[in-house]
Amino acid sequence: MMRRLRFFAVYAAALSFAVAAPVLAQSLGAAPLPQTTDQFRRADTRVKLATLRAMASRTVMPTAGNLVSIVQLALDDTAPEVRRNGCRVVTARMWHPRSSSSSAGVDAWRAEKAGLEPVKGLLLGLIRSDPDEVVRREAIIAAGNLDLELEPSDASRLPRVRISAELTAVLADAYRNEQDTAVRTEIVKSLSAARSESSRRSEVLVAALADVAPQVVQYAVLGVGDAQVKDALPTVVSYLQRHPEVRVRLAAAQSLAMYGAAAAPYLPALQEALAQESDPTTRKTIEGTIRVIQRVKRWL
Amino acid sequence: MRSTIAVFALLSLFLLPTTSRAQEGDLTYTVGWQAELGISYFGAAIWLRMWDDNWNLLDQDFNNGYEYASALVMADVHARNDSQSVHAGETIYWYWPEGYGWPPDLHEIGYIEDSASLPGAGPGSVTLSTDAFIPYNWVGDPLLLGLIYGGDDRGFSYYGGTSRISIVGDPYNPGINDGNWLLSPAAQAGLSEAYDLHTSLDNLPFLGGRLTQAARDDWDWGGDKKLAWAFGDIGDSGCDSYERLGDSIQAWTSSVRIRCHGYGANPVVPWPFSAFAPDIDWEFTLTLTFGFDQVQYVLDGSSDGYPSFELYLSGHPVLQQQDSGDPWDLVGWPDTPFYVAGQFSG
Repeated sequence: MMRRLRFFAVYAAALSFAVAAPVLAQSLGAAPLPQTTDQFRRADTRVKLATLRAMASRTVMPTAGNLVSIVQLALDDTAPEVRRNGCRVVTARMWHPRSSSSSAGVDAWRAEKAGLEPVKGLLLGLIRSDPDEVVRREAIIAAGNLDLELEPSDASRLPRVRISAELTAVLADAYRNEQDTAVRTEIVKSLSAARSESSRRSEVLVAALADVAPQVVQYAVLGVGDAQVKDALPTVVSYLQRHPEVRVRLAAAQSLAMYGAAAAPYLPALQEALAQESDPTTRKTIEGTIRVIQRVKRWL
Repeated sequence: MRSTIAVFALLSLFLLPTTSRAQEGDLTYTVGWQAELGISYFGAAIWLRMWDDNWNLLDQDFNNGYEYASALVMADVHARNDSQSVHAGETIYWYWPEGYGWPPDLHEIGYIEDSASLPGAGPGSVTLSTDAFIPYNWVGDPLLLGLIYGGDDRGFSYYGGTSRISIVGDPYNPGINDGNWLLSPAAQAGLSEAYDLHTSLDNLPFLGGRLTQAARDDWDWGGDKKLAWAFGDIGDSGCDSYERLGDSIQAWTSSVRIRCHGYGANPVVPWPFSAFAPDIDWEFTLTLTFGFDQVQYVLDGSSDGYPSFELYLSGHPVLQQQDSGDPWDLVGWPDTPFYVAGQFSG
């Protein structure tokens, strides 16, 4: 009797497993994600997105060649969400420590950078002409991460990034034609925060001082200070005194501190702006800027 | 409701003129009623019934105690069940009692209307408050060692404290209002600050070092402690829809669906370190159902998993999602899901 019961128990368990296993496997996502270009090309959008996500989080490790090929396919896909996430894979793969006491992390960053270099052209193409604004924005972030080099820390302890003249030119051209505020913000933020040999950086930053969007102006103001664009100084001072957006006034105060001695003639304007300013953070920043300029003036 | 509609007049024909007009919304009903003398049939009852637009019976009342009453009084009630429909005219019929011919005839005998909110429709609005914050005193830059960022240094809290990015708005109760927002959703970004790890802590990092007051007060650009500060970029963060779902449970409840999303150009990291930094991302759909003196909610969405994320409805904690502890989660997708359902008294 017991033996018969045991037989039925085993039989029932086996039968249940046979019925449930495929369903379970599907629900757990046990189906392998594409690891080759052919598999990726044939996959539907949902699977493509899952694949890209896994590649970004490194839960799937295709060979270096397949990684690049799959990212290239993703950046060229007809579905904007696939292109978007192709960009995100590049950004995520480039997120290695860039400064470290041990060189292992930096070496890994450089190796990944070199490996993904072939997709740079596609990213620049997306910045130039992708119809989807989110794709254009993600492409800027991805291309920047792929392009940037670290400047050695200067005396002010600000580790800064530098981008190539090629990327600077692409961003400058894109700014001229860009209608979307978020994308223009990303362009100007990138050009203001990342230094470049190209004179087109300053050209765009000066043009962006007149942008209609305050978030764009904020970064332009910071950028002209960092690039020491002397002709832009009066505009920066006027923004400190009169701009309705606090973020722009704060940026203007910081920008004047970056100008240093060149901003010394505007100390009375700074005092005037301090007297008018109502935002506590901007007030403290203006006070700091006055101290910085006075200090530099004394040294001279 | 019964007490509201239990309006009868027996054995005489007259209207009950009322002129009051309450605020409007899905659960605002407009009822016309009529007392009808009609033909008196011994043993019949007087009814007052209320239907919605689809002729679902909302409620009924009748005077079982009156044996001499005869007429069936039908009040055609229109409770709005989508964002487009409006209160229709109310038409009153009387019903030929059972046993005196079939099918029954419906005779329009005029109407008068009144409107009011259904009792228990809930509060006029709720305050939706959501934000992302760093619970620690500071966090390190995952890419540039030696660079740290000021945190919000707090736990989950509806009141007070700073945050990296927040959205506050007051959606209306759709049951009793025709508008969408009492206060339109407004996004704000906190001040992000970058510090030099080596000069800004009062102790070694691994011994629980905290940002010194001197570092906090260093507002000189190019100083040796606070290296940069800026208001984060809130981008197009906000709630961009207010979708009326109409009424349900025989028009006793009314629902609204709100979609919100947030992205900030990494409000943890100020310029110039924010160059090519990934955004902070989150998105959710919040469904609110008002009625029975309660507000029911279903929150369905996802965030980056970093930093911490919280959401309150009129101070009631709906979601308190602890951060993953890993700033690297900012890279990529908002793939830390959350789903919460619950209710609180209005």
